[in-house]
Formats: sequence, structure tokens, C-alpha cells
Amino acid sequence: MENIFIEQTENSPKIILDADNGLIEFEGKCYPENTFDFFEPLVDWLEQYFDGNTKEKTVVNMKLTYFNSATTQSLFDIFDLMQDGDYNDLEINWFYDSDNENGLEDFEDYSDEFEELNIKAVAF
Amino acid sequence: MCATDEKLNICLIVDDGVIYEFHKTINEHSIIQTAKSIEEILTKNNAKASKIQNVYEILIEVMQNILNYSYGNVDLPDNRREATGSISLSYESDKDIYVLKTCNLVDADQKEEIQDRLYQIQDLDDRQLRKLARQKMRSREDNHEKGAGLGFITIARKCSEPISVKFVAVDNGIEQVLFKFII
Repeated sequence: MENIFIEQTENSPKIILDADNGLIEFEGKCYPENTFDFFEPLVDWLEQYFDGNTKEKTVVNMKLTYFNSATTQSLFDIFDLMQDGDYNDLEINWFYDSDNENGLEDFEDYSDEFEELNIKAVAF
Repeated sequence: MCATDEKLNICLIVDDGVIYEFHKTINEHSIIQTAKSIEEILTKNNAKASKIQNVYEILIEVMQNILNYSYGNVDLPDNRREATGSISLSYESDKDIYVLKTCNLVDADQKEEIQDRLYQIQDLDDRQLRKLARQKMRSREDNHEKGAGLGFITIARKCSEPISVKFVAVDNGIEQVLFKFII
């Protein structure tokens, strides 16, 4: 599989989809104008990766400081496909702002919904 | 405060004193710049981090809503758009609340849909809103090319009072919609 690396912009995150090293990372703000268009190739890649192409260990780092409601759905779809996917050892880290009293809300939404994935909260 | 020309009016009012104002058409660039400006101003005014985050997030949601659903929005090359609307943000220090007001035009057939969506969530607490959001994500019942139909739920979770909306008929088949969000 080809890896995907996308640079961060003011309204879209840095993205690493690295099949060679089993690393999946989203970092920054995410509210692109056409959210579904933005996520479509990423979801395609993830579907392929979690369809028998995972490394022995896969680490997923979600470092999103803000995302819009359309992204909420795309992230839901990504967690959904990971939960249903084939993997050996999967570590998912959700980074949150410990200075923000609402910082854990999004983590709780996804960790409660996808209990099997055992998503970990990591303060930054 | 509603713009009727092809400009977006944004002003920040603190206890009735305008301290920030500019005019722009709503597009991806102006949403980014407006959100950054508001975030910087609220930070300089020592607003709480959670308030800043909530105002910032609601502002982006409502501007993207106007961009996507406003009457007369214009499709540009590369699947981009421009729209017209107005936004104002004020702060009431005695209550420690921010009041975000928006105004734009919509097709009259959107009026009932907006009212229905707000009616569905107006009496829900955060736990119920969260449950409804998950239900919509699981069922993908409101998915469409511009969003997931979760915008009002997302906004409502960040507001301290129910979202209020008023419609004013301005022409045959066109309504002016005025939202008020208390944060």
C-alpha cells in the first residue's frame, strides 16, 4: 500500500497514514469546506489497511484540537471501520487539552460508542 | 443588523460597545480569518478557555451553514462556494454570556425543516443531545454531501440556552432567518 502524508493547513489537519510503520495520525484543526471529499480517500485507504494489511502493531494518534460536525461523522465512520476491521495489536490514543474543561467530551463520545477499541485519553 | 447587500457583517460588541467589526463575503477563507480573529480577541479579553472554544466552534458551524444553505449562495470552481449573511457577537458581562446572532436568506421550503430540527432538540439536555447525535451518526439518516445533519445538535450542546430562531418573509419563496445563540 502507498503511504499518505498530508500537510496541515489552517482548517485541515496534518495526516499520516503510514502502512510501513503501522502509524495513523491526525493532528490540528479539521473544518475543510468539503469535509466528505476531504475524508473520502483517507477512508478508502483505511478500509484497505484494515482489510488484512495491518502491521503487527498499529498506533492511531488523534490530535485534533477542533473539528466540525461533518468531521464528527467521518471520524465515527473511521472508528466504525477500525472496530470491524482485521488487526493484531491496535493502540488508539485520543489527545485532549487538559486546560479546557470540555476537553474530554469528544473522547468520551467516541470511547463510549466504540468500547471494544479501548481508546485511551492522553493529555497534552 | 442583517446585511442585505452581498457582504457579511461581523461585529463584536462588549456591553453595547462595538470593539471589533469588519465586512466580508462568506467563503472558506473568510471563515478561517473570522474564527481566528474572534479567538484572538476573546483570548485578549481573558475569556475562559471553554467559552472561547464554544464561541469559536459555534461560529464556524453557523458560517459553514450559511455558506452551504443560504439562498443565493454561489458555486465556484473546485467545488467551492460563496454566500451572503451577517453575524454579530456580543458579551454580557453581568451574566457572563456571549450572544451570537446570525442573519441570512433561505428558500421558504427550508423554514419548516429548520423549525422541525430545532423543535426536536429544544428540550433535550446534554445527555439526550449526545444520544441523539450518536443515533444520527449510526443511522446516517441526515447525511448529505455538505454535512452530517449534526450541526444544530453540536451547536445546542455548546449553548447555555435553547437556540432561538425567527423567520421574516422577504419575497415570494424567500425567508430571512435570524438565529440567536447564547453561549
